[in-house]
Amino acid sequence: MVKKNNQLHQNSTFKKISFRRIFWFFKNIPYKFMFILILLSLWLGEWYPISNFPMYSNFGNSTYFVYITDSQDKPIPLKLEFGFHAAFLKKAYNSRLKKFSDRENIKQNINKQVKAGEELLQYIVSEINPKVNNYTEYQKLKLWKVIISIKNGQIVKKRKLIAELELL
Amino acid sequence: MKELNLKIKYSRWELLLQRLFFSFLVVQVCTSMKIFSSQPEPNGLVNYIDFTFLGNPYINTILQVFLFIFAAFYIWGRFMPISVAYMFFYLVALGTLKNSQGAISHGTQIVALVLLGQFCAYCWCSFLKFQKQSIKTKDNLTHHNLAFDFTQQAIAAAYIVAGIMKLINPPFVWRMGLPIPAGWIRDLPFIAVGIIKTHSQQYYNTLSEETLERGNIIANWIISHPNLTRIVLSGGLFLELFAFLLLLNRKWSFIIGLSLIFMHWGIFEIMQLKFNNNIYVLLIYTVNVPFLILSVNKLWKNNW
Repeated sequence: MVKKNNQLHQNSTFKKISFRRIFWFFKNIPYKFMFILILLSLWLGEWYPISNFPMYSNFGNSTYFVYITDSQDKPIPLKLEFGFHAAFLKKAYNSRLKKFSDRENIKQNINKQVKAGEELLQYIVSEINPKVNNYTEYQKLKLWKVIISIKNGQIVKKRKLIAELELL
Repeated sequence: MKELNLKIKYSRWELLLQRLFFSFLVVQVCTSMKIFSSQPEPNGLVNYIDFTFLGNPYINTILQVFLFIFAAFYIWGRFMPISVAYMFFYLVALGTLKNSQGAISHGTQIVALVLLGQFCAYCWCSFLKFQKQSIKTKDNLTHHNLAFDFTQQAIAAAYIVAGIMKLINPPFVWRMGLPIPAGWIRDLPFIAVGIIKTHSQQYYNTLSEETLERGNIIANWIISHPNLTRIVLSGGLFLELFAFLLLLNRKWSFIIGLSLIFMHWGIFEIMQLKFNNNIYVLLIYTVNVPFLILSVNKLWKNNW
């Protein structure tokens, strides 16, 4: 009876998925360079071309984006007019905001958002090639922030004006 | 005699086609990248080197001419350490300058990582040659084979790191007093706000109205089906974490590569986030389109 059980055990799939097979499986994977790159990426974070690829690794119940309008509050197609993506604009605004203060203080002091917004608009204007785009026809650039959140199972959007820049 | 342990040997034509396709990608990425005239938020090498000279159109034109020359050498398979080094450092200079604007994007990292892998492989082979530790060769292709091997490792590393970040970045889920790194899966339904954000950003890029409506439909569906969202989208996390399987053999490379392409297609459909360079790199080095082309050609020659 015991012999029969042993035979049954030896013929079972447990034998097939043995530690030796798993070891063989991983032994056949060349990994040294991959391992070094993984450690470097986790250690250095964002250091082009090394990256820890943190995008969408953490979700919150609210986020925001920014966009630009002219003096009449008409949205400007950012990619077509300025050559910038709206995603780029948000990241650039976020980094300037971090430079001025941490998030808690920003909530208390709106002036820091304005300062970051104005710096961003000036940067955008400095990077536009005036030969390609006659941006002065907009008279004024306005930076808007839209906060998106989930409240009671509904998506809620809140819009507010962050900064303005007169164009000469 | 030192023998490099290379599992799969790739044929001359397969490696040539890979180099041809990849050099097209590198040239396309380098010539289409927006060049900035300032570096307000230094990242990477910009902390040590001022790359704003790339904004000078004359200098950049000369550098691009050299890019074409070295890309030709790269396809030909000659002067590999120098050719790959030039392509790598030129792309790194452009990418670092772009990422030093206070907005870090991840569209070109995979191409640069592949070049880094190839650069390391060719340098390693040259070093062994210099040390008179001649490498056992098969048709003098060992250095190209090693470059392919390092390329696949670089691709796997990029996806595994992205997977690890999804485990360690969100707060842990506590079950029976134990921390479980499943916060990302728990919070997945919050991706709905991210979808509204990316669709709105897409709208403000071109003012195309359809994208807004599309984003609302997808986000509302996710809010009303949170568990289904968790089940469907968490597959992407496991795929990233198990990306190392593509290093096992041709079959696994094809399966994982195709699955990752499918994942990128899904990300684009749901979030409007394009990772075209990742798809091209996966097509060349994991799905291995050059091998498929040669296989079809062989079958055709043998009358199927």
